[in-house]
Amino acid sequence: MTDPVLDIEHLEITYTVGAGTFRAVSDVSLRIFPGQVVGIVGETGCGKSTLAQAIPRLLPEPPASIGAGKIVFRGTDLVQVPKRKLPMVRGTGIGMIFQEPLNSLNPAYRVFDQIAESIRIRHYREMGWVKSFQGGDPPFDYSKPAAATPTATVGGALVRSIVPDGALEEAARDRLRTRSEFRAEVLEYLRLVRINDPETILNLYPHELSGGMRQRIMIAMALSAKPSLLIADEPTSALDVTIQAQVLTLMKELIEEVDAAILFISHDLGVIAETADEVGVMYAGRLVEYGAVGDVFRSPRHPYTKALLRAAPARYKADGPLSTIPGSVPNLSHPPPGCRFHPRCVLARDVCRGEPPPLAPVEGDPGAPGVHRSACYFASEVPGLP
Amino acid sequence: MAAPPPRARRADSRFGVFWRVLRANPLSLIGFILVVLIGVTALLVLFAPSLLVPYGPLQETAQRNAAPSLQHLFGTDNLGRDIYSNVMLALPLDLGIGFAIAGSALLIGGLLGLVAGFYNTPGTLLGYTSTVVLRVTDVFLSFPSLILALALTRVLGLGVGPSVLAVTITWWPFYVRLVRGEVLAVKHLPYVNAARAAGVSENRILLRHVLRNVLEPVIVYFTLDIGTVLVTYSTIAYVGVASIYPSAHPEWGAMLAFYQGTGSANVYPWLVLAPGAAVFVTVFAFSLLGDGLRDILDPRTRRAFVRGATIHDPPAEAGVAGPLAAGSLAPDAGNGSEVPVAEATG
Repeated sequence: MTDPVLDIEHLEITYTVGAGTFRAVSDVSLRIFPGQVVGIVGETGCGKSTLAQAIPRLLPEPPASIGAGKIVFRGTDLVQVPKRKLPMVRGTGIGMIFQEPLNSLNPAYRVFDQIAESIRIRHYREMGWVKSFQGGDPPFDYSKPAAATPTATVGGALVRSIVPDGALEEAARDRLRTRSEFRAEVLEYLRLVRINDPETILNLYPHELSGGMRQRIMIAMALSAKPSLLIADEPTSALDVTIQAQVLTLMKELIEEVDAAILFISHDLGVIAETADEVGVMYAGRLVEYGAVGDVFRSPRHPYTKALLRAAPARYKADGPLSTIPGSVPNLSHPPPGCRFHPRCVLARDVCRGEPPPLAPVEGDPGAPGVHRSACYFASEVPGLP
Repeated sequence: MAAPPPRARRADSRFGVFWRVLRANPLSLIGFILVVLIGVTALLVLFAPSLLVPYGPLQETAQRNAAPSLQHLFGTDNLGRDIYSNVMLALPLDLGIGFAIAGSALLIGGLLGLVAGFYNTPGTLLGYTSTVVLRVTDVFLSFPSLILALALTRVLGLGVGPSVLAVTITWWPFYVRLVRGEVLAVKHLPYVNAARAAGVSENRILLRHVLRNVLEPVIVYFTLDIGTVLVTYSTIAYVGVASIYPSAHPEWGAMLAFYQGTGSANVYPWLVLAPGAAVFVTVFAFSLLGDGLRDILDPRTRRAFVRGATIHDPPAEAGVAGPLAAGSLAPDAGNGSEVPVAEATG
């Protein structure tokens, strides 16, 4: 079996606000293998965006802090990586698409400059002109695979001290990229995200584009760095329904074309069902159920997943009121003991208030053994969907 | 597709945009023209004084206390010194003082403001530096700057140089506050985090992404500030500690003070009206220009003036795949619709 691209182990993230601490993510473990699309669903405030931003260590620390656990990206624990080295992982290692396409592009620069910056970062790292870290063994060997070129004779001592050995020869081989070459590559990525008339779009400012267009530009930016892990944090949430469908179609097509592993965060069950291979359901900072999309959505093994599925508007029938989950999401500064869902759960018994249930494999489930897991003591008692 | 070199087209359109924004705004156009006139005049006075300055600053002509005439545009004083010549000679000096003070305040305060706003993580070395910078700024801001500048001139000594230094010392804290506030507002915007996620380093985020978006209000403030600086400096000169008048290097504030002090201004008002008007026109010109600059620097308003040119007039080189290729917005006779670009169907 291949190594996972990302291996999160028992991750704890807390926010310290004033005197209170909020445990936004508790004991989350997750693995993503190359080529896999993993979805995370949950309602607002369940910690899914915190999780997404914690992976490339984008959370502002403080107020956020990673209390325990590991975020192992291609063999290196990112929790241990010093802050100043983190940019080397981002972009080319872990790419990210944000949920606010309207504000995620710098208003002062044209589309060309925004995508070109991303391409330039990758290019410089590929050339070895700036340090980068793409994971793998040994950790923190930033240099390019040793090129058997003799020591640089071009340029003076100053140049050599900035540019690593051999880079100048390499530059001569690969040629310095001219603006027009960057332009060609930018156009290529604009076409990849199905933008009509990229030649014109190239010279526009973000405010001249619609939300859907901006989200495509964001996607193009993230992809142009060729990341090995792409995190899409609710990429369609801020868009209206028709544009959502377009962007979603695009994402699905891109998943086929791009060879990055993808972590897809959404509160929309339909979106996850359409895009992901496996899905994790989060509730109040915990992963409560995990499994192949078909298994989880067809035969949920956690009361919360089931309630969430029942509440999805797609199941709304004209003859009855929309199903809701009684109660409300717990305050994460004082989460309920044990299973965090027990105050709202129909199956709750005394044992649910004790030790929190582990995310254990579900018995008697179709599909690969051990994949479908549920954090419920009564997983086998969860009634089937109507 | 034959790719047109974008640089060339962009460069010449930039001037066009500048011109169009100015033309749409009569007041900023006036401001711009005035500033250009003032600048050219100052250069002429500096390098070709014989063209604009008929008399020497201390030259005593035969006509004393003469009213404005063709010979003496702004009249003369009790010793026959030509007021017009003195006002003109003061222009480069006053302008230079304005730029020197506002410029160094912008550099010092702007740099400190950038650092204090961007690297304000508590507990780090830069975080402590930021705190110290801000507390020092607060100390300076707690004094009225004019009083502080006056007090400083007592320490630094008389003359133009020390006075400029004194005003500069009281001036930079405003820029720290301004720039820091703008940086704080910008650094939490999603696009900064998006740049971070793309692998851009912190320093580059500050210099490329944050600075560019902070620049616009700061430059506008700077332009307006040149006027304020001039008034402040003139006030200090008026009190009589900065420049001496009459001298070989006249200055507007000192002129005002001198003629008002001798009491002759009551009988011969042109003695103070001329330097006063000079200060007024200069301050006015920069204020008007400042407002116009805001429109020019902001891509959003800037594009409002060139939208027709960018979107509805396809560049000839772009060929068939013009901006309004099939599937996007219906061409609206080349000018009208407010919709920028239709959502292109995927």
